[in-house]
Amino acid sequence: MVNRFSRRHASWRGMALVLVSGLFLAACADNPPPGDPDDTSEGVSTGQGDGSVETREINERGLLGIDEKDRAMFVDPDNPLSTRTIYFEYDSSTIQSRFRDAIQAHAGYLADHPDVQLRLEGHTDERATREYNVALGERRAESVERALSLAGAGSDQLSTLSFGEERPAELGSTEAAYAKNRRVELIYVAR
Amino acid sequence: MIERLVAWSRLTVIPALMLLAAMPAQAALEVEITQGVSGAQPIAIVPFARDASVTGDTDIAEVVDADLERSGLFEPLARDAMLETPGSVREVDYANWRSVEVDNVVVGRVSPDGRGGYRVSFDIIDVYKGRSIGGYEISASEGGLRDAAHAVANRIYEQFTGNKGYFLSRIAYVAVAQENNGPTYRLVVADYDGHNPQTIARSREPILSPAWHPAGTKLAYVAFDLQRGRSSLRIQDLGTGEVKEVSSRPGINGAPAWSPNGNKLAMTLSYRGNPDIYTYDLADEQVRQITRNGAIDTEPSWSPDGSHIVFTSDRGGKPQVYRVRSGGGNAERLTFDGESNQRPSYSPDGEKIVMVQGGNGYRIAVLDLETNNVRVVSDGPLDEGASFAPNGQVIIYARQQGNSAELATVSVDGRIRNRLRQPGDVREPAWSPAGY
Amino acid sequence: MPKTATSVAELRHLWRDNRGPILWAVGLHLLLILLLVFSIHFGGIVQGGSEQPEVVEAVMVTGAGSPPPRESAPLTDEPPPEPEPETPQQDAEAEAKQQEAEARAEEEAKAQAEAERQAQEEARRKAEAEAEAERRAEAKRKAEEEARRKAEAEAERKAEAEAKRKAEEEAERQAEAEARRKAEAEAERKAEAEARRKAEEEARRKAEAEAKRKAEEEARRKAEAEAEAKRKAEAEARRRREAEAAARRQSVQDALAEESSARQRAANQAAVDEYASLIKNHVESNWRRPAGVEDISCRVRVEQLPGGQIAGYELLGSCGSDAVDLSVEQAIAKSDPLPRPPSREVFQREIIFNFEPD
Repeated sequence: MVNRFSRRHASWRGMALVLVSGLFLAACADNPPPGDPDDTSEGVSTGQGDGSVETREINERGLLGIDEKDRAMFVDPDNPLSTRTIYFEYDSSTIQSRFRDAIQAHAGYLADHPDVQLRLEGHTDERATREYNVALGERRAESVERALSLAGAGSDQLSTLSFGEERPAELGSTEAAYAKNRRVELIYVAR
Repeated sequence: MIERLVAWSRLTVIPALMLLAAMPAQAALEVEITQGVSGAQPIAIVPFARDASVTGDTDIAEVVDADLERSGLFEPLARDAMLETPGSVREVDYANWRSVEVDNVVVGRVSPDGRGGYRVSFDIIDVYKGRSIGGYEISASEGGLRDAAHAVANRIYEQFTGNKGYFLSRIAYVAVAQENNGPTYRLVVADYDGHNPQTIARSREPILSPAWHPAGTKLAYVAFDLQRGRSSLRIQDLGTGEVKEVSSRPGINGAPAWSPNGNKLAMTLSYRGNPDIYTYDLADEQVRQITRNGAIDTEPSWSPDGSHIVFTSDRGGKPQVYRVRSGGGNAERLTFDGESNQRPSYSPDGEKIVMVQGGNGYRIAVLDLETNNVRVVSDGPLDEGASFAPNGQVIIYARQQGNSAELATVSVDGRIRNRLRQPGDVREPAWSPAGY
Repeated sequence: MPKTATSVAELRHLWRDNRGPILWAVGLHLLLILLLVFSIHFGGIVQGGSEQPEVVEAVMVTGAGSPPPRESAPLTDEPPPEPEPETPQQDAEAEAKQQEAEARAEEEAKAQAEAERQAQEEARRKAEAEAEAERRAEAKRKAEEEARRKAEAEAERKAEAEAKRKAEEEAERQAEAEARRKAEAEAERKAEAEARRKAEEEARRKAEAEAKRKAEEEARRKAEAEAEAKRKAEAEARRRREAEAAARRQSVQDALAEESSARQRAANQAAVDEYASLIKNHVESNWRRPAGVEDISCRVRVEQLPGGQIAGYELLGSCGSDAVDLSVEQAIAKSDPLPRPPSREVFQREIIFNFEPD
């Protein structure tokens, strides 16, 4: 079951890489005319298929930097490494204690694998203005970065990126949706 | 684009007036006029006559009608209420217009210019004077009739209000559509009324904060480059499509704002550990830190004279609007009303700031810098991204509704509101600086 | 009034500072008066009891022979000396002794000459009887004399006592009078002091009230003056405008007057004002003020025909912008025709419109 899961991810990864390469090729080959909408900014395509978009996306994007043999740990619900999203209170960047084990586990894994890179992607709910939320998401990402660093991860293994409110995990203007959107995602990026 | 065909003398001396010369100048009854009628001005835009050889289906009068009505300052007469549709001044029967209580009538004609384009001529007629008070001609390209119509509307607007019309201005905005199981972000430039949308950038990752160069020729905006794991602040030339990356430092590269002379960009960077306001000199590509604060400082906007930058900061706990000299220094808090105030943007005359006010929802508010009065001009609940029209009379903003958003305009006094209907999730409007 | 108060105050001070000497002087004067009274009585007695009620004469008498006032002072305190030291008791004792000696001689005579004794006895008895009678008569005379003298002394004493009493009474009366006078004077003084105090109080109160009133008056005057000044300034500006307008109107009327003196008499300012008001309302209802434009100020000269039709108009300078110029021109054009004049007399061919919105 686990193996099959991993294999599926491996295939998605390959597909994503193909897509990315394709886009790059397209961009290089076809210099767009003025006013043409096509690809003046790099796009990263995500995988396709059934199931929950964001779960699949995190599993896929978030584990690209993990050796295939280790990926099972990151999807085992009993393993604290499977917790790869840290949630926050409204207008707060304080890490709640329930995420302590996960922070410790990821910091430990990073310490054991100095070549592995982790990107912390900050997000907010849709309230307040967009650029302010970019800053708030950055703060959350930095908060997690600091915690991991204190727990043993090398600072050169960590980076942050904030999307603000632009990439909600769940659409809608409800408190439940907001709670799911105030988060930092741990993305193990490919070297 | 516009050339004045006939310049009617404003000082009309009717022969009978000559009699006055013989009388003592002060021998007159004196009457003080202290009040006038306020409200939208009645006007009739008669469908423009067109030569048979004219192709293209743009109804110029219809575009002018919509422009004038949207401004809130005019009340165009419905076409079916017109008793006649004259094609020139000579054909106008003034009694027909007085009877429907219209003060002014616009008549015009579209004809080929012999070079593949068109000539749009029109007269603004004063029904009570019984003559034209302004005759104009506009040349248009084959596909440019809609712009020509906006130019007609600008001429009329300025004639009666004394302010430049803004009907040829453009807006930039970000449109989001769900495609292929994920969002696609498009940076779009369109006419001010939403027509002629053109996508100038597209990405599966967010696009943020489009900002117009003061000449209206370039846009600065924020994109994301996941290959590098960075956000990217870039400038795109609208004419050539050329893209120049200005900053892609670790952390935030966001909230670009052009200096009034176009030589600098203010922006938010956090590579030194905290989100602060910086200015970037386009000539030497150096950045200079303007604010230095442990709190979030972001969303800068230059004063029209370039002396100051206003921005959002939560240094006081909640986000509020502050002002700092554009060379740096101590920041001064400007907003005290409301739970929070964010994303300030100067009016073209520098006397007002439009911003987003939080507290039981988010609404657009206008801060008068002279009186410190704050006027809330929108209803919420999730309004954002406000900017002034180039003539400072109208504000454009985005209204978020459910999972989508639409653009709306409101007059500075909050009286006149209009929606700009766009498909999909439309956000972050930025009104181009010029376009007269 | 203050001068009086001062003199009274001075008197009071005088009294307080010199109470002893004053009392002494007053006493001396009283004594002098008493002495005069007494001397008159005394002198009267000395001179044989004739009463001398005239004071002037008494002074003369006093100067002639009475003791000086100082020496006479004790007289008022002691009873006058007994002019006769003898008493009836002393007279009786002497008589008894004489009788005893005579009896002894008779007994010796008896023993020597009885015979003769008889005769002699008789004779002697007779002589004795005669002597006795004579002596008794003498004694009686003396007693009578004594009684008379006593009576006289008594009377004199009584008179003196009476006089003294009277003097005392008089002194008392005078003292009383003096006391009363003093009391009255005191009361008067007090009353005066009180009155003065009251007067002063009143004066002070009045002065204060006056000062307060003046201050209030001043404040009120100032406020009024300021208000007045402001009002005046405003009024002045208005008045000047009105005056100019009025002057123009007047000029119009004068011009009209030149045309027709009868019309000049008929021209009525109220009617003109009413006419102006009609025109004002008409033009205002036709003026669409451009939105968002401030500081509008301009003048338009209009010539009309007697029926109100506008024959021509002219902007006297710009209204500030082309848009406002246009709005003003359109207001005039739309106002054609102007309201008909209510009467021929108020009609004015030329009208100046001042567009001065608030």
